[in-house]
Amino acid sequence: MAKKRWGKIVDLNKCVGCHACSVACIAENKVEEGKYRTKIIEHEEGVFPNVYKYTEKWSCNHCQHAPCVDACPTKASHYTEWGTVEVKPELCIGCGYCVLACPYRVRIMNERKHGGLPEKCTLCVHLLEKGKKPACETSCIAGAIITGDLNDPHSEINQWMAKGAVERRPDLMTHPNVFIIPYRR
Amino acid sequence: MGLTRREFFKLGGGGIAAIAGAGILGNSLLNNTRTPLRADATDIKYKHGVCEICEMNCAFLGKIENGRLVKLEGKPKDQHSRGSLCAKGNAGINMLYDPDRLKYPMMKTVPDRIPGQDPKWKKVSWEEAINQAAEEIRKAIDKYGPQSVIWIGHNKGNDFLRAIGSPNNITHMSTCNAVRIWATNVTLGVANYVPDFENSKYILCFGWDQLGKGKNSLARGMIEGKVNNNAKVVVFDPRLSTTASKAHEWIPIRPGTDLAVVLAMLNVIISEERYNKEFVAKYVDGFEKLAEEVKKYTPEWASRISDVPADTIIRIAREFSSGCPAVIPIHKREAIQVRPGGFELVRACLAMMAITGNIERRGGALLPRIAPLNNPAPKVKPPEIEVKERVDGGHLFPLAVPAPLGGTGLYQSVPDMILKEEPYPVKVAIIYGQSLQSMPQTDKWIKALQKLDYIININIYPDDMATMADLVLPESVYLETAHISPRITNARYPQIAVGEPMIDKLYDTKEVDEIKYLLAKKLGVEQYMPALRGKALLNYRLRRYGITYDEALKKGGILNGSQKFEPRDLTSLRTESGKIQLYSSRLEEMGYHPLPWFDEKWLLHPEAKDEFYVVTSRPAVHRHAKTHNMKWLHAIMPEGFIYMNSTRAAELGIKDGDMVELTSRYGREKGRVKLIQGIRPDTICILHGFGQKSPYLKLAQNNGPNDSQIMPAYPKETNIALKDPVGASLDCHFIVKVRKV
Repeated sequence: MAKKRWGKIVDLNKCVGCHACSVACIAENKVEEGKYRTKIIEHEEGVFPNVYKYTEKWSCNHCQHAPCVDACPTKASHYTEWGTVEVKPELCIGCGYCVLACPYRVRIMNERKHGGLPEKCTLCVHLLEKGKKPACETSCIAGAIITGDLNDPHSEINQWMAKGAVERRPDLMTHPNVFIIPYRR
Repeated sequence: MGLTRREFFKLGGGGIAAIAGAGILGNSLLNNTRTPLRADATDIKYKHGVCEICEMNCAFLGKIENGRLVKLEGKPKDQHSRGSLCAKGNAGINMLYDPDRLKYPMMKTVPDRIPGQDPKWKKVSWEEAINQAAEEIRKAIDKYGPQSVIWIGHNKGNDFLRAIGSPNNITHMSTCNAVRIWATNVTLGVANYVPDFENSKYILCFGWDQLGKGKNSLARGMIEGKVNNNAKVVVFDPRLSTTASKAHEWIPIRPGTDLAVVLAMLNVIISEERYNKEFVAKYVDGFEKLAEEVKKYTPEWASRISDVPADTIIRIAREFSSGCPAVIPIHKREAIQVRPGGFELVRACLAMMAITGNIERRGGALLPRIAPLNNPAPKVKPPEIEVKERVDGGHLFPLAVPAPLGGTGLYQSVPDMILKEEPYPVKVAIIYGQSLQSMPQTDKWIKALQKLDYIININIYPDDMATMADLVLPESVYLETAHISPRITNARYPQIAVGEPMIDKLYDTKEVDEIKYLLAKKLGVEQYMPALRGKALLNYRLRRYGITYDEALKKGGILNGSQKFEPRDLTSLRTESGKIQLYSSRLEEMGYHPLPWFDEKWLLHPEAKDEFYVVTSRPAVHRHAKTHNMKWLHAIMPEGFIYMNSTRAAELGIKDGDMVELTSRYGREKGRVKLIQGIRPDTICILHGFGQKSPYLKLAQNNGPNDSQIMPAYPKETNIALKDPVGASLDCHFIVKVRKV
């Protein structure tokens, strides 16, 4: 069987910006108070009455060419065998370079829990490995999130891929494993 | 080796070499201070629960690690949660472990009642508290009669009031969903209907924004209908709400004029003979009279009133009546509950679905399928309540108050009646689950509450209301109690969710039912209260299903009825004719208009440069004034604000984030503005539920403007003059002046 490549798609036509994912993620991953591994960004464009707006779930994109991995002096930030980007706490020195290097600004510095480690979305691989779904996907009240194995041609995520999923900021050449289906008016 | 990680980070300026060195040293240097990233809990349990943050009551599984509740997860089998929980539901844990919670009964020791002022609380035992409360109630009953004792809040006091003989069950429903309940009751004989979004092809909303409020099953249904079933979504709303942002068409209608548009659409559908003749002949009563009535409501007339082009009205009416499954969802407040004519708007929307054959049809409006439960009866039948007049004027609205204690009265008329001592003096109030932030014209309410002899507040939080009360009785949080909850609001098929306490009670708190019973016992009237308690009560409620509470939990906490959709007979509804009732003789007999109608005198318009229409909304992460001290939600939205059109704001010299003062005839309030383009230039939108002053809520204190502060609390005469049969709250029936401060 081919190696797994975990990925995620967020359909911005479905996302209602309710923050359920942000809060579910905090509970599942015991994220430090006042910090978010996943958050909601609001966009409004146009002039009244021709206005449109949409919300976007924003979290680690698990890039295949990740600036945070490049920037890490100790190889604590690394690619896992299933395609995600994670931090090895035993190698991390808390220099914060990865936080600055991330062009999507999704890494946060943990102040209290681990004495100053960067943390971010892990794609809840600990749940995926058990055949469960990440906290954000389970909690999404609009069914806007899907995760799965991008290497499996029959997976649901690949059916969503066919609906027009695109990379966020392809100009950055980071090749994320997390995609969006852009908002269509 | 005294260097900690934090100190090391501060050395960052030392350069790459230092950092690289630390990388090699990393392990030995830092191991002592490190806690593992994911501590594997040794003892993990899952329990069945029912959420009580909102009225949907989603069923969930609670994960308990080493005795501590850490995560809530929706149950896929529950038709409400459908496997997910909203932000508020997820954050329920915060409420349970909130350090600011009320932990034991307390008495106020300073005489005056000022919200947010230190009441110099004295801790008392439950026995002392109940004795004191019963003594005050007894005093009032002896001197002024049982009617001088009122219960404010959530219809929970009925049995207690019946036991002591007071008719004053005051609910907030007239500021909430009373209009929808009674208009649907007149037309369909039920209290609500289920919009079948998933199978719909046309979804037409008037101010309906349950997506923006994070309502679980409704949001998912609408999105599925739109994205998976290709339904067209059209939203009339003065503001580009979340629902409107997801719609194919957003029509920024003038606030309060939705009814004119619906009546004109009825006019178009009927005059162009686009209605479902077969359905109307079989199941609709009063069609001819409605056809005659709506002749005068032309699209051109509605266009002048509503600011919506006449051809748009005609086009949408044609699209809606094209024969595809179409639905108009109605929840509460939004366009319906806050202005005159709300009752007629609900009836007009129902009429539009009825004449196009969309009632009890897949993709239209379904009658709710609510699983009944046994309700325990008292040992001795309580005597009839002698006093029929209610402080909330409920006796003047027979449609809304079918029985002396039930129904919905006029919440907003209560402060006037207390201040004027009409129809009699009120001395003691038991306030349960109501916040000052939800009391329109808050200052008037405060004055009325100050006039009372004694206030007993049953509460979870030491909020503004608690600081005003003479006695505060702490209630247990829903995560500490057992539940049996039929799906009510959006019941597509009969289903009951059963929940157990997640953990033992953290503090010396009680459930409201127990508090009521203890009070009744102390007053010597407990024989009039239902006697079943605890597990016996839970088993009794489920008895008709031949299952006990424990068995229901073992079965997964969800009891399902038949899920297959079988259309109900629409000739045996609980209406006057048994059919869908468009023309109501009952209303006519009561002196109201038997058909949906419109009066231009209902509208108020801004005139001066700094005047605006007002609409209100609620953020997705907060539930009224109840969730603001929950830390995960507070962090997302610590402060409420006022939406304003940025072009109009520029004309007034107001910049984004500026503090403004809102002035209405009923009060003043200050708040920050958030400038957007997605709102009519003549309208502001205030987010509801903010404005907490209590210093005991460390997170929620001073969290923005309280919209109720500037809202009117009209006396009942206003509703009567407006020919309002059930008493809507008219919360947004005013004009506001905005000034930069």
